[in-house]
Amino acid sequence: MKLFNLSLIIFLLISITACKEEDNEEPTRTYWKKQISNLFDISGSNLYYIYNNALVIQDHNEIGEQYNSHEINYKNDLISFVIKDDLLLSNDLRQNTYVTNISASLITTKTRKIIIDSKDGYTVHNNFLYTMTSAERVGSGLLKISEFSESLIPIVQETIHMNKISSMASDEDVLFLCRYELDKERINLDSNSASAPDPSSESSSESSSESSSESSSESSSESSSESSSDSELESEADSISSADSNTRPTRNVRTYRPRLIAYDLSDPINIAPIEFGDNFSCEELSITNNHLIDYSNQGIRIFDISEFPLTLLSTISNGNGTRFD
Amino acid sequence: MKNIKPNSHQTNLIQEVLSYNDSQPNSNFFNSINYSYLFLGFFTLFLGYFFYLGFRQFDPLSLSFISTQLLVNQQTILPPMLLQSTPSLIHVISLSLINMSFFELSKARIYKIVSFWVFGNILYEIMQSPMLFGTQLIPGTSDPIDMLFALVGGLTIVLSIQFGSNSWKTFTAPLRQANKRQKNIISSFVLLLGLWAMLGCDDGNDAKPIYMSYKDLRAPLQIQDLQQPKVRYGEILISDSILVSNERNVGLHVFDNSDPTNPTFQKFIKIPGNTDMEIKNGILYADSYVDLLIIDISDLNNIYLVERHEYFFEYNPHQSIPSHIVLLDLDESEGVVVEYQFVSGRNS
Repeated sequence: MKLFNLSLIIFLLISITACKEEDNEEPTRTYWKKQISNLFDISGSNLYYIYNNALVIQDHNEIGEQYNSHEINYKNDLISFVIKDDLLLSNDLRQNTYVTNISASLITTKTRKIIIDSKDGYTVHNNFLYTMTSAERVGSGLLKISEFSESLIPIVQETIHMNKISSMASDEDVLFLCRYELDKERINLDSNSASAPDPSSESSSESSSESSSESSSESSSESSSESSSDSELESEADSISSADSNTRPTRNVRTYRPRLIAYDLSDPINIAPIEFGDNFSCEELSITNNHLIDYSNQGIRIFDISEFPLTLLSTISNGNGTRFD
Repeated sequence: MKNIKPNSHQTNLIQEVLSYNDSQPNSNFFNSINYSYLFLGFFTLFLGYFFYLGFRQFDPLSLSFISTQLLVNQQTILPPMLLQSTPSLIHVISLSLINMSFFELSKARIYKIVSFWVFGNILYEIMQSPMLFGTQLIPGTSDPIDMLFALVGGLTIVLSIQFGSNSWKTFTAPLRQANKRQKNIISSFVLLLGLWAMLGCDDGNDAKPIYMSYKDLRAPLQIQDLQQPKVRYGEILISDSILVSNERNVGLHVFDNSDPTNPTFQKFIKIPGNTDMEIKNGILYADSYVDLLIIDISDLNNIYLVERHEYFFEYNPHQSIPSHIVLLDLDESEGVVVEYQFVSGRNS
């Protein structure tokens, strides 16, 4: 008993001493502070950039020589901002969102903290705020449309339930939104078939809350040899149909594929789809100079959005590099 | 010397005392331990150890359990979430079992022990978050999924008591109770073991920064005509007939986009520490760690640096390295941090 206790105490003392020896060196430790996703932007003649807890706005010439400088200070570390129309929206490390009207004099302008239920992404168009929720569960996405009041308070005008939204971007009078839609197909259960999904990825309890075209009675006559798309979000076994001796067993699975939908924003609340597009990776969307950029692991695809239907202009493939996270 | 013999009454009393002492459960400390729990607890703990060996960059001789990076090639075997958060689950289960092995158990006591380790883990995760206290109190990455897994670990034990009562009763056979002093020692031991496993003297994420000097950072702009073999295109900007895509922390790939159906690679501008860019009137603005570069790209055959604004952006030592790395003795005057070297000797 005494020997046991003694050995315990020695064990603990050695452990603590080992720690102490390292602590005696007392190195200065620097921990992660923040990652900034949008460091700077140019709008009009102003250069906007993040510095410490402030967004610095500089009136500058083309070689960056500054004339006037103004700072918007935040309580917490600023990690991203976006300028859209006359509004500047920013996010801090604690996921607070702020809005500033930058059309007015910067000296008198006020920054307001706003509450956004869905923080996964937002875009602004004609004084309306469009926010999305990209919940993990398929069928649980939300698109909220809010109108800014004169005092820059967003007042929700419309909430639209839709399947998982993955990304969104807006330009001119068009909102581009990627969502996952049901795509049911019959696949082969043959273990040699490449189209058979990993059973571990199947969930029999998953269901979609969206009432549109996702009825479980939906059937498909697609070929059993069709392979699953890389972009499938999820597959779900509905039923296994036993086959006769001449037919290999098959089963229906629900798969979800990303789909791009373009909404007309000329009526900012009653938005209407004007274009559907398949074969988008929908991992990330952005718009630059009338071009829609569809980012994926494989590369980048560039679409002309000056007119519908969208035209794929070009594809730039990635090499073997790895993304820094 | 007078031989004192006990009388019959005294003899009976002594025999009674001796027999009483023999019958007391506290007489042997080892009898107070539930070896089933102890075995299960340490078995689970060793599972955790081998989990680290298999799935993480982990020094097998280190007794610290909060190391560190996932082995990239293992991420394809199990979902990353499972790989990241399983240690929390193992920690709660193993330490609860070891703790429980030293006590005479009632359901209330089991709940107390399990709750202690669950909330200990959750508190540990909270203290890793810079969001609550403005800074990290403990190195590491705060992850709500870890908290969830710790809770699942606790629920695993509690539910197995609820629904596996028969087999559990075998384990919870009445134990002989240790005395107070023994219990204190054992409790302290388990507490320290658990806290050590959780906090310990871990240096798994401690690393020395490797700098690029400001002189090297500000070397003349390198413009290459050949496309890089390994490219990971990032943000894209299109301006008139020019398409520019950045490769984070590496540089900018410039394409001629006068034929939008066939952008052709023109130049690679090597810009260390580049994360963002803007184009306006043929002028490219790009960050290079702490500097802002202003580059004239109006003529793709004559790209040149117009201006460099030094120390324009704030110093960010984690721009090029993962966020969970703890940098030791950072010295901003040495330059910008481009890599790191673990103090434990493993490779970055």
